[in-house]
Amino acid sequence: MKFKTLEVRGLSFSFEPGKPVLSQLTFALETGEMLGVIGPNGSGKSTLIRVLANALAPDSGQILVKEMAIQKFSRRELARKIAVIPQQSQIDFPFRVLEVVLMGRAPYLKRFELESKRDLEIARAALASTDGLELENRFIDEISGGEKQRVILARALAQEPEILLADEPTTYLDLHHQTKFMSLLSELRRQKNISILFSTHDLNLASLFADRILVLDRGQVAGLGKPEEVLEADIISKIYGIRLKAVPRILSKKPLLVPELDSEMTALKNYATKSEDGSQGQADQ
Amino acid sequence: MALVTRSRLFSILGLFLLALIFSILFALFFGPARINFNFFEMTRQFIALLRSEPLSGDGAIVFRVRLPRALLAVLVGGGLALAGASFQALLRNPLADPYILGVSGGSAFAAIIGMIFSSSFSFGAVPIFAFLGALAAIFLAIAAARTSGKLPVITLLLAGVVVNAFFAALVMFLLSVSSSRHLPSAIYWMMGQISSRSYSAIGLTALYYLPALLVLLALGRDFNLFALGEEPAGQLGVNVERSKLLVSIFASLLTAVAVSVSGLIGFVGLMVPHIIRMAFGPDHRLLLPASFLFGGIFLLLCDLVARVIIAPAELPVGVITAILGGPFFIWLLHRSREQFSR
Repeated sequence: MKFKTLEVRGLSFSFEPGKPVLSQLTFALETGEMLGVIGPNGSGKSTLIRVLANALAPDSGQILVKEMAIQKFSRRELARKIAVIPQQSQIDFPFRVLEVVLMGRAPYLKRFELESKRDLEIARAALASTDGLELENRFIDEISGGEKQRVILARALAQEPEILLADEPTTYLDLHHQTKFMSLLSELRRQKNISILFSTHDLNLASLFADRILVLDRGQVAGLGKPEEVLEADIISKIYGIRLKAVPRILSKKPLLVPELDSEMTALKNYATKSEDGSQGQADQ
Repeated sequence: MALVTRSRLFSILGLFLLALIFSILFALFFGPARINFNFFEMTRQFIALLRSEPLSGDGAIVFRVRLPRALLAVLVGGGLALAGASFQALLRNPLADPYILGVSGGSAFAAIIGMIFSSSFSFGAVPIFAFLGALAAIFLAIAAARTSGKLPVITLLLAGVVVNAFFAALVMFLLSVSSSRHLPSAIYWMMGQISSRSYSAIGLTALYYLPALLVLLALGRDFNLFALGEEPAGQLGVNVERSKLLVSIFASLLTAVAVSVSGLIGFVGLMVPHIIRMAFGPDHRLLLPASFLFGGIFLLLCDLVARVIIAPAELPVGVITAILGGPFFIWLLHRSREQFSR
């Protein structure tokens, strides 16, 4: 049986009373697992991550970190367990890359304590594991978006967390960097046994990289399971309000979902009708 | 790369401290009045000063006029620079400065009320009034600038302009209706001027400064994490709300005390942290103490210029800092234009 690193029981949250953003969520993040959270805009993905990161207090329900209620951790203790990667980071002063990664050591330092040699080693190792060591002397605002997101990941790893929460971490990256970033997450979780929860708008990215997928629909769990179980074209189509077609990948059988456009459907029908006119078939399928 | 290590911290701050001491010595022996510098005579006079015995001739000029003025310039410059660096960190905005945000204006208005009530142009309770005015101004500026939970640079600058104009109008009103005999000096004070105060007033200034210095310097790493954003800082263990409140209170206190003793001296809090950041990087654990020391040196030198440039008359030092600061601000704004439209 797998150990649960993060457990959520009956979690509800609302910004305004009577308008729940999350209602009665129950699920668990298992040790070393990569859980992808999908759902349309406004389904509560980002809010869920902010609640799990203890940035917002839930109305009701429990969050257990390693079987202990999240409120029992001090801010600094929690920062040693959970690291968060935002969609995008805006850093306003000209810090260098290594300085930003070293900020991940803050939860381990006393108020006037400076980073030790060991902290520096940990930061460098984190940067190396995200393939960014050659960036260490660059200014954080002078590197590309893909590089920056890797640096932010290194900062998160420098926290030596057991849980990594990533809120749509690939939204602002191009296809190459999306895949590279997700592969990196996947590899790190295998190497360091970190449990990762990430949200994404990209169903196929979730399908490719998540061990399990949590589908959120208007703040409720609409599905939870392996990609091939959850990514049913009919269910997902209903949630997103568009027609989707599932195409299984040849080897892994993980489904890819592609939208079917009305214009395409009409064209297809016309094509079918035409060719069937010649062979006296029925156009209806 | 230069990370903040203990040896780097101590060597840089040590150099600044040395430079500060030399600047003070320089200020003692430089001025419109010619001083016969005699080491033994000066030492003797200094000892007399410590024993509160009467001083004579050159000794009186050096130790009763120039030294208190130099010390005050150092405290005011250091305080304004540290307040500026702190406001910049709090607001994640390199253009923040107590003067630009309207905090100085709020302090000045409340300080004048304090002066009218205490019916003398003495120190006394004036800093307390000024402190309340500073707090009102910073919360007003932040409240006015906040748009959907964020503080965009451009609205913050606008709010500062408005808060400043508002308090300036209130000050003008007070000066027009009040018949206090202290007002001519109040007008000159408003222009920003370092004057020779008694040692007890300087001691009181230092006393007001002490808690602010301790608290703000202790927040160095929190300020660094603020650069990542408030939520990320919280997720790295910072008590964000508490830190924000502490900065608002103690940076306002520094501003208020500085304004109480020297009026409106602008742009020191803008220029000094910026120069330090360009030279040594943005790490606040070095930036904050270095800004304090360099701010002291900077205002001391500005005051030296103010003392001698149109001798025997004097210029308010606020004129000098504004002449330097205005173009500096425009240069900064121009350099980072695209950043401010977000």
